[in-house]
Amino acid sequence: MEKSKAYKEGINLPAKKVLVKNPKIYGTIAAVLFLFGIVAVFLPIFQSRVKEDYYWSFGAFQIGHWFPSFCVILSAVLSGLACALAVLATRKEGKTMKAAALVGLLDALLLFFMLLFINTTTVKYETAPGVEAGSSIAKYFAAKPMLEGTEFAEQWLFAQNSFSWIGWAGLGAIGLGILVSVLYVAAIPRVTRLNAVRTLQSYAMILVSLAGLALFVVYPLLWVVRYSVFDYKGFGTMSFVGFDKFVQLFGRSTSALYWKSVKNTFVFAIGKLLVEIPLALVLAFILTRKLRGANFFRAVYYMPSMVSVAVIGVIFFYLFRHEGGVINTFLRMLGGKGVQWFSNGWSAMLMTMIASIWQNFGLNMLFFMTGLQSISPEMYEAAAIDGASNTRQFFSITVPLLGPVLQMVLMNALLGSLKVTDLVLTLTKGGPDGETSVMMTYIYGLFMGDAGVGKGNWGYAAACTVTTAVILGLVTVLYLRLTKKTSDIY
Amino acid sequence: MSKKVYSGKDKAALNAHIEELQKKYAKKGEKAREDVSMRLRMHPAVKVVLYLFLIIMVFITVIPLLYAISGSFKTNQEVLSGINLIPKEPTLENYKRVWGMSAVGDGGTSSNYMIYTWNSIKVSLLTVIFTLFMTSLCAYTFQRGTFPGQKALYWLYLGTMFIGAGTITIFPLLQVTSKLGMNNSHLGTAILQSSVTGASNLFLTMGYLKTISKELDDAARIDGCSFVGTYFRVILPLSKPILATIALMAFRGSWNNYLMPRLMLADAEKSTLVVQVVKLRSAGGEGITSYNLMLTGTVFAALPMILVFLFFNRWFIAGITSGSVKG
Repeated sequence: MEKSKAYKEGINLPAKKVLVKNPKIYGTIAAVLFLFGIVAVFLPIFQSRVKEDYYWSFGAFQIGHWFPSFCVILSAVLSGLACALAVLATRKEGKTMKAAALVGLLDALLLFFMLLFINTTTVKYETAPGVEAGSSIAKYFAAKPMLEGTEFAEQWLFAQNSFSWIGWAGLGAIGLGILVSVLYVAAIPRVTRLNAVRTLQSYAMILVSLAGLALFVVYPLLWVVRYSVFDYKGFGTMSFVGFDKFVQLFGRSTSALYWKSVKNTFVFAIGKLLVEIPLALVLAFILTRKLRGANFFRAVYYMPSMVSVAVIGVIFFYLFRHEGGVINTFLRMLGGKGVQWFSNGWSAMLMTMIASIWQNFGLNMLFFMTGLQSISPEMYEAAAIDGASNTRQFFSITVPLLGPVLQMVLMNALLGSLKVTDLVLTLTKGGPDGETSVMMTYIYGLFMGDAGVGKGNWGYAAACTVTTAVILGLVTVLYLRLTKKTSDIY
Repeated sequence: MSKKVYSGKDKAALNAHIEELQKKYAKKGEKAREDVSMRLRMHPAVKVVLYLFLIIMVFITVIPLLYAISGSFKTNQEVLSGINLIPKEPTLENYKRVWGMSAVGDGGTSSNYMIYTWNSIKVSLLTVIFTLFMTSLCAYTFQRGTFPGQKALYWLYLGTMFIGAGTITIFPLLQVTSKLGMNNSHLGTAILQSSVTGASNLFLTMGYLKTISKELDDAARIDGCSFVGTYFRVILPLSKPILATIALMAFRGSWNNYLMPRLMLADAEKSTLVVQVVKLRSAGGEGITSYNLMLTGTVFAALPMILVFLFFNRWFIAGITSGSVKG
């Protein structure tokens, strides 16, 4: 990511014409366009502030006056600030530019959010005769022309019409503004034409990936955030309930199943890592010694990682069978009793852990082996010359140098275990009685009506998802911090 | 540590001192080297114990797979009655049946395991192509490019990938894909798979690109090569090893994926191997679970990957180990 030396110093290229001579003009044009676009897109909402007696239908739901107005005012202030900073930045680069970019980003995010709501064409009024809920506004009016003239219809029409031309014009202006600001960036004096082309090429090269990211990762996340403030069952009325679903999730006893699944997830992850990590560590220690056949052992231990988690679930389903199952027969041979693995909570959880450990210890062993092998033998030799004992060497060389690797592997494994889905779905299906249901399978069940949870409320499921994402996010932040530390050392 | 300063007069003294030191450290060094090699050499008894442990672990690792394979050669009667590893009357009947079997609960369509296998191969290969395309371009741009918003985009990419990828958002994800007309298509599934599972691949490739000298880029640039040109002429040829690893990983990931193909590919004749194998678990077709058929299915799904691994295990292990430490 750091700029290459040549870039910083500037390569002696044959002097080429600067693409755009006067950046300030472009900056101003961009600012004006942005402002116009934002005002145009949000004009209908300004109107809602004026017509006090109307209950504004904002996209798919009714929320009264304050929310959209608040958003618009905030957005206007932010965009104004961004523009001012951008104009300032033509004189002074560096921090101001960064601040402008940040504010602009915030504004864009807000805008995106608002567009998400505005663009929704689901009709809230299920009472409208002859039109099923969820069809587009156009359909609604096509079916019910007689509604025209009534207060609501007028308002809908206004919303639609105003968006249809002013809104699109506004959107166009924003698009144009983006283009002009690209020019504006390209016009910053020290940037040669070549560099501008370079920048454009860079954007073009990540465009496909970013489109995928926006469509398949960012949009679903925003969707979930949005639905978490609604009460909606996938059909019928969709009503805005604010943070009600979260209150339900955190406060009421009906959400016990979710919290149970959270508990199960952490029990699973921590319990399994307590065995898996030490096992992997010990094996790595042994295999980094000069042993004959170390490569063979390494390959064999890693082999289970090749097999699909779902298939492993199927295989272990067979191995843990109660009557005549392989594991139970072994247990009986050792003098114990057979266990009804699938009908007790603890045994089902234990079984899931065993399957997961069986699959993953080889992978973690590999990570540890790399860590151990990257410690050079000279270091031990030098320590030995200085008279350090074996124990001392272990604690003064091996532990501090392996520490970061250990942290990284641990966080990686923890994150992976918290996301466990396929294994539970194929091995126990969350049973018995939700004892092995984990966060992922629970949410999956809420949306899909699978895994023994039963199809639930979208809003509630979305609230669960948001909470889960926050939990995962916290672990991720921790993970990234540690990885950064690791990369500092290596 | 203070150093003694020797003037010209004390040359003899200095030489003597040096000799003395050399002797001292030679002895110590020898001993130390011996120590180190002793530490690595181990007592025979310790060695026996270690090997015993390693071999037990090998058994634990291999036995579930062996049981799956042996079960696929048994009749259901035998699978249910005993745990002998070597089938009494080995039969190929299961393979014949599963290979030509139509989907469970899918009255008489023409789909069978031959088609599922082909579907799996198709989806996996497509996923490999898209993953390679996206990952290598993205990694190169983020590693070598300098453009406004680079860091922000990079963190957006990584952050959302860690949280958002996968199951919790699968429902809205399916809505997006159905709007784009990607459902029930192998191409769509491949595109989805390759764009959702990108972060670790990106990490891996960027780590590798770090090891390619930047002077090469600068040289190309001075010679008039554009940003894109540098990628195709300099970086792409040099990053072939890591791309081979990524391709293998992507192939494995796609072949083994369960949830995405299951939800994306609704038609039985488009379904993939792993999905159908899991279906065998819940219904064997004749009332009670046909463990023999189920295990045959697992062999179909698992064996190709294990074979791939046996042939390419160096690539896999190299990929994992290079990505882990460099991060």
